[in-house]
Order: sequence, then C-alpha cells, then structure tokens
Amino acid sequence: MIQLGEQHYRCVIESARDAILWTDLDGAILSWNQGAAAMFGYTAEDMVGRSLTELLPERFRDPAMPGLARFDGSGYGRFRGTMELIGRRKNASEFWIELAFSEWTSDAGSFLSAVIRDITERKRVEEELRSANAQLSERRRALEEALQKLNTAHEDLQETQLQLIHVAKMESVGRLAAGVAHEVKNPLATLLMGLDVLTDHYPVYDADLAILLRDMKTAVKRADKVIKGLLDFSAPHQLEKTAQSINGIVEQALALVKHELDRCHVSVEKHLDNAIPCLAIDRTKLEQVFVNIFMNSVQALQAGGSIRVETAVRTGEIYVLIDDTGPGVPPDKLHKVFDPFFTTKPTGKGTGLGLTVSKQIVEMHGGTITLSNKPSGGARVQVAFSIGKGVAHGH
Amino acid sequence: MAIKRILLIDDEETFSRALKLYLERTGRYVVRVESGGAFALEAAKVFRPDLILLDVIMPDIDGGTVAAQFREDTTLSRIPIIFLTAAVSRDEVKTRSGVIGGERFIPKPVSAQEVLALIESPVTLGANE
Repeated sequence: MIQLGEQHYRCVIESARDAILWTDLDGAILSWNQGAAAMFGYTAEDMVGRSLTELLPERFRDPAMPGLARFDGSGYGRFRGTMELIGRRKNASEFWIELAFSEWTSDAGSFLSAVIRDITERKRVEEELRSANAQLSERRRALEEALQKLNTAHEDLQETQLQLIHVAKMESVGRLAAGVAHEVKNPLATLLMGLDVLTDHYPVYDADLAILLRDMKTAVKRADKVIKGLLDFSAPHQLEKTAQSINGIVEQALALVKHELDRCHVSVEKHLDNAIPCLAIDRTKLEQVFVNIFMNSVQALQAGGSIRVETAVRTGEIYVLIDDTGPGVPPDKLHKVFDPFFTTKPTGKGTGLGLTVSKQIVEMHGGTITLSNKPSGGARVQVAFSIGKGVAHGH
Repeated sequence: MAIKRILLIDDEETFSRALKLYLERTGRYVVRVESGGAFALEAAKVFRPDLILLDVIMPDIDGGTVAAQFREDTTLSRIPIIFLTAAVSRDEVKTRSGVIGGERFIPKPVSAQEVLALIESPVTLGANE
C-alpha cells in the first residue's frame, strides 16, 4: 500500500468537488476546502471560526442544531450518516445539499467532519420523476375512469340493443296483428250473423243444438275479444296527453270494474296520496292499463279476496301499487307475464294481451310496470312514472 | 208497416248473404246486395233504397268515396248511410257514441239484433214510419 503524507491528503481534499470541512463538537468550522468555497461562495477566511449552521438559510438554523442533537441521540450512530438539507450560498441563493457527518478523535480532541454534496441536479431529477409518476398516476386514473365509462356505455348499448330488438319484435307483431285483425273479423261477422239467422229465424227444437249454437256464438265473441286485444296492441303509438291525476284514473278504472268486483266478492282498500302532482298522460289509455290490472286481480280472486291500491310519491317518481290476496303468479312464469299471448287464466278467460298492451302504454309514457309475488302471498303490480318526464302543474 | 228497402254494399259476400237472409226473414225489409262500390250508385238509382249499409274497405272503391258520391247526387243524397265495417273497433264506436268523423258506424262482427236496433232507431228508419 502506498503511504501518503498529510500534503497528499490535503491535495485529495482540496481537489474534491464536494465541500469537505471539519468542526469542533459545537459546530464551529475549523477547516474549509476549495470545494466548499466553490459551492458556497465563501473563502476559508470567511468561514473558519463560524458556525456550520450559517451554511443553512436563517429559518432553518435554530431547528438545525436540535435536529443534529436528535440525530446524535438517535442511536443510529455517533454523528454518522447523511441528511438532505437546504443550503445557503454567500449570495443568499438556496440549493439542496446532502450532508454526511462523522466524528473522529485525535490527540487534539474530538471533531466532526462533514462532506457536503450539491444535490440540486439529483433533486431536480427526483422532482421530475415524482412529477412524471404523478402524471402517470393521473393518466392511469383517467384511463381507469374512461374504461369504467366505456364499460357503462357498453352495458347501456347492450341494454338499448335489447330494447330495440324488443321494440322491433313488438312492432312486427303489431303490424301482423293489424292485418290479421281485419281479415279475421269479416269471417267472424259471417259466422255471428249466420248463427243469429239460425237462432232467430229457424225453430231449434233440439236442446243440444241450442247449446251448440250458443257455444258457437260464445266462441265467435271470444275470437273477437282476441282480435280487439291485438288491435289495441297495434294501435297507433300516439298519446293524447292532458294534465291528469293518477288518483282520478285509478278511481275511474275501479268504477269501470265495479260490477266484476261485486260479482266476485272482491273488496278494495284504497290508500291514495292526495299530494301527488298531476301528470301529462293519456287518460283513456291509462284507464285501460288499470282496468287490465284490476281485472287480472279479480280473475285471480274467484273465491273472493281483496285488492289494495296505493299511490305515493317517492324520489321523483309517482308509484301505483296494486296488491291482491290471490295465489300470485308461478315463479317460473313471472318473466313471461308481459309477453304477447301469455296467460295463466283458463282457456277462453284471457287473451294474453292485457298486460302486454298495458306495458306498452306505460312505457309510451316513459314509465315502468313490474309484476311480482309478495313474500306474504298474492301478486303485486307496481306502475311508476317519473315526475320529470310527464309532470304537469298543480295537484 | 211498409217494407223498407236496404242497399247493402259489401265485398264480403258470405256476410252479405247472412245479413240479407236475417233482415228479409223479419218480413220488414227487402235487401239488395252490391259486392263493390263501382256499381253502387247505379244500383241505388234503380233500387231506390231507404237505407244504405256500406262497407269501408273494398277492393274497387272504398266506402268513404262511395258515400261521397251518394252525397253529391241530389237524387240520392238524403238516403241515410251506415258504415258496417271491420275497420273500426267496438271500443272506438262505443266511445264516440257510434259516430266517427260525422258518420255512423257498426263494427264487425256484430249481432243481428244490434244491426236491427240501429236500423230501426229514430235517427235511421224509425223517423220515417
């Protein structure tokens, strides 16, 4: 190993780009190299004898010494280690420094040596890195948000597509219905007129023949009822909207089915909220909706029972809830109740178009209609209208 | 009571035959059937009906045009016309008290009793008795 003298060490220290200095244990500077002079702008004459803390901006000086003391007492080392600080040049400009301390002892006593490195460039790169990371995080967040929006839009698109398919299906059924209705009604007219000729103008002495003729008339009227349902379904999708009270429409529909309610011993319990606002709606079409719903309940309550009707306003929507004490709808059939020609009624008792037409009418008003079974038994129909979509004025 | 004359204009020949049979069996009406609108005017001039029962949708001329032709002819314009058609629904007729666009309608299918009731109502033939 080459043995170097003090002069050699001094040359090493003086040629270093870092500031290398040592102080007594109170922080008074005893040595100041060329690197320190270049870094801080002070000469050795300026600094020897002055406190190390004068290399820090004034605002950091007081806290710095206790900080050094804490570092000293931290157990990490006897003034060994590095810390990053803000330094202050002679011209008062500030810059980032890294301060490495160590303590050493010689015959002359104990001293601290300090190596100070200008880390302005490192800090700038670190700041750029931090900024780039923040930008990256922001972009990632934006991308995740965009992805979320894209997923939502995709789901909406799928939903819209399904709705369009449904609408197209319904329209094609409607067009078919309108054409078929006219062509079927004419032969039905011939059958009905022929049966009237037979029953009114020809003596029917045979009781079985009389029953047969009556059944044939019933069959013709049943077929006509199906056609009526089909025509309702294919009727032009135009609404004659006026400001109407849902309560009034519900009351009118109940009046229209009163005879059937009485005949089947069905009681009605009404809870109509008088505070609900008027809606711009087609009164005749919505009466048809509620007549259909009430008639379904009546037909489900052949042995008697009750219907509970409630109207209410909740979260910007007007609700009409119709509960009955009937057997409800078999769970495996619930998803089909709004399909054309689906019915749970005995043959001849329903056309299977009532709820289909009702759904169509409610949706034309921007509303929704659902049918479910109550946990306590019986069916529940919920019709809801958004106040924003069809609200009129007043109560 | 004098026998009334009814001109039935309808392309549904089976229906026309049944209605003619029913009305004539009452002994109060004589019915002439025309299966299209093209010759309806000429037929009416010869037959001199008290009432016209008119279908709406027919292959040659629609019922509305035929009715307009009758109303433009001064010798026929006073004959009451009732539209008898499958083109309207029972509900439409009922909610408008039987009158749509100023015309009286009977929806098909219809019972003979309903047709008779309308024919014999005061505003149709009843007023002439």
